[in-house]
Amino acid sequence: MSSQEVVLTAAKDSDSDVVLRVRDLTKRFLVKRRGISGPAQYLQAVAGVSFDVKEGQTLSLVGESGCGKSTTARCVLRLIEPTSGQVLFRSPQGRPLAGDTSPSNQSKAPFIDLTQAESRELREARRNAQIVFQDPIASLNPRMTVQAIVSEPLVAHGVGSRAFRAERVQELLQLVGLKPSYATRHPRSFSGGQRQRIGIARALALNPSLVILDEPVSALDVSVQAQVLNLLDDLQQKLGLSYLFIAHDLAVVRHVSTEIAVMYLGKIVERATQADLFGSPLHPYTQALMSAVPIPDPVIELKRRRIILSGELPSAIRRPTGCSFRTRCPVVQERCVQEEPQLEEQLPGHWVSCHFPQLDGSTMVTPSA
Amino acid sequence: MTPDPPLLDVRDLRTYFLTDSGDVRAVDGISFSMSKGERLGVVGESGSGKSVTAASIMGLIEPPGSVVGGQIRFRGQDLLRLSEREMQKIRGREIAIIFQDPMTALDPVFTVGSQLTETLRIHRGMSRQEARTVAIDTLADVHIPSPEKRFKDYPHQFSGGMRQRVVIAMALLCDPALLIADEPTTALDVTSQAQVMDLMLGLADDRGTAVMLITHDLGVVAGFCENVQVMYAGEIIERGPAGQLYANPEHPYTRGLLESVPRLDDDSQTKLYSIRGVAPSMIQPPRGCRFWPRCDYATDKCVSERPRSCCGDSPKECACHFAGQFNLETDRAGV
Ligand SMILES: Nc1ncnc2c1ncn2[C@@H]1O[C@H](COP(=O)(O)OP(=O)(O)O)[C@@H](O)[C@H]1O
Ligand SMILES: Nc1ncnc2c1ncn2[C@@H]1O[C@H](COP(=O)(O)OP(=O)(O)O)[C@@H](O)[C@H]1O
Ligand code: SF4
Ligand SMILES: [Mg+2]
Ligand SMILES: [Mg+2]
Repeated sequence: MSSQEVVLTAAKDSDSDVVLRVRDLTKRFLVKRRGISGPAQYLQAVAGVSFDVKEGQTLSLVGESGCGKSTTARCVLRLIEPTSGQVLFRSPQGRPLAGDTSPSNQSKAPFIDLTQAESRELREARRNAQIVFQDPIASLNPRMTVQAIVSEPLVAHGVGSRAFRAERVQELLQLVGLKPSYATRHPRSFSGGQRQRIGIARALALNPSLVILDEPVSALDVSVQAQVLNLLDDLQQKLGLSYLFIAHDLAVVRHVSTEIAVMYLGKIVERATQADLFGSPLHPYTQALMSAVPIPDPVIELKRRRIILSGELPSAIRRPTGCSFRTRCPVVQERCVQEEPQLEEQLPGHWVSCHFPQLDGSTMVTPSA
Repeated sequence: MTPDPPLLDVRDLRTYFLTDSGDVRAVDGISFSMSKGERLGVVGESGSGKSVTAASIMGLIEPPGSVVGGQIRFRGQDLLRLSEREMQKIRGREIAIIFQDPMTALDPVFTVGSQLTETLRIHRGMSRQEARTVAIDTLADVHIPSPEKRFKDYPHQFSGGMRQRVVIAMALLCDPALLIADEPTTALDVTSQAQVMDLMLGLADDRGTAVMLITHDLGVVAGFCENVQVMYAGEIIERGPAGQLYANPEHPYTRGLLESVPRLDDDSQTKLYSIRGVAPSMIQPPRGCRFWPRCDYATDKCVSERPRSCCGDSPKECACHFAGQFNLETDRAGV
């Protein structure tokens, strides 16, 4: 509880521009029961996660597969039920559907805790907070046309006449750089980049203020990845969007983020602004992660110091005692086994969960001369 | 000083797939060579023909595909003229291949130990006991913790990164002269990727194995390969020593690729350079230069005339009419 209060106080002065505030979010999945009446076994996918997304900015969750990024995103939108924690969201009132370029009045709206929200409030919130997946079309009925896919959120929320929706789809396709004539086509044969553009158009149909992007460019070739990242940037500027960006590629994250939270085994181990995180990563895991990302430059690669982590990711069913990272940590000490570190503000605005934060991290990205 | 005769020499290789909609010219006249112990990177975006190149060398192209032209000489012998029986002797023993999915090489119903010992007994004629000792040593070599215990485990009991390390160990058991690694780390997380690449580098160095590393990741190649060739639409469009190719790419596509990747060591958040459009159809690729519809520098000549292909004769080559005649700084300012 105490760490939560600290976080709340620290963020108070900049409260007004927060659109999404997540506090101590946890999600446990029931894995199996031993015998008929035996003890239940749980997998702790998200183990107490706190962060703020600020208006018009991008907060990224980064970490390796299985660390709980997607589960966090799904809990935020209550696509799955969180086990505990708060998800405070400001739904701007009366954000017009189309053509809105003015900054929203979102910051003046009251926070609603989505974990407690009734269905009407939740519905309203979901108009304003949308999600884009890695392959947004894969899970859809292959017989749907682009028109049907993009207008689906409008239909679901009973927005507009048929004619209005058709017009809105045209507008959205243009917005994401697709030909309006694509509306009547089936996206099956579309390239990865085009499919992702359709996913983005669909997410923007209701003119949301917050967009959650879950690995939106991970499946794309680099030339197409660049196109989509540029598009996301344009849309953010044009529509004043706030992004919760999820990715495993640290280089992409550095390029798009205002602030970054690094996750390991369901927890945030480090959180800082883009400049601080890459300028001086403090957590041994962040450092190892950064050192492992290859840089497309042979001269630099030959000189870099790479931290090769030993061992494998522990199971989220049987989490290590003390620090979650201690089984692979290169600087582990006895205290790490006994005592769980808390996310603490090591430097102004730079939060780390480690008993022994490392101050030599600046060489992880570029070799020291 | 006469250069070593090449270990592998590929001449004008063409591999097509005959489909209902036409011939897919997946690999369309590529030439290159590799010397003993060389580490060559083959990069390009998906569909550019990297895996088909590898499968052609291994004799693994299946209908509707076939090698329709060219030569693949390995130690002077044209692999395309060998019978399947003769090819089987080369595969695994002289040239080994590993894929993105390690389960392609592992049998889920046998323990990892029995698969390693089997390989050793068949290919190296070892006794059961010898094979067991070597297999356990090998697991230790690829940093599998408690190898004696893990020897008895099945593939599904290993993590993805460990499985790929086991497969590398298995591929190297017979000391092949050439290892083809087709996207070996693409399915892995970045820390496992670092483990695997570190291991490959160490093993290849120790044994002098030549490695053809196929990947879409320009970063992975930068840390591993001496030479790099870039594929686009079934052709090799540029080749060179890694240092030169990255520092001074001469083909607009290579340059575009390098500039469109966000870099870990770059803190700018300005727009990324992006290559417009998408890769062309391989059934009816553009005439002239295959890249012209996406190229910022295309002229009439590019539309009508095919640039001279890379022929594998010199270490640095570029298949562009205006190779290297672009200046990064001034062009950028001009665009
Ligand atoms: N429905 C589920 N039931 C049980 N475990 C799950 C479920 N969804 C996710 N998990 C587990 O939760 C952990 C976090 O998964 P996820 O949030 O998908 O990670 P990420 O998106 O970071 O790759 C993983 O161990 C995963 O196996
Ligand atoms: N079995 C097949 N049938 C038809 N086309 C194929 C087949 N295998 C590969 N291709 C085509 O060959 C081209 C090159 O494929 P590939 O070598 O796998 O690309 P890469 O490995 O560079 O991603 C692609 O256009 C692909 O669609
Ligand atoms: S708390 Fe200990 S084990 Fe955990 S990251 Fe810090 S030093 Fe490593
Ligand atoms: Mg995920
Ligand atoms: Mg491939």
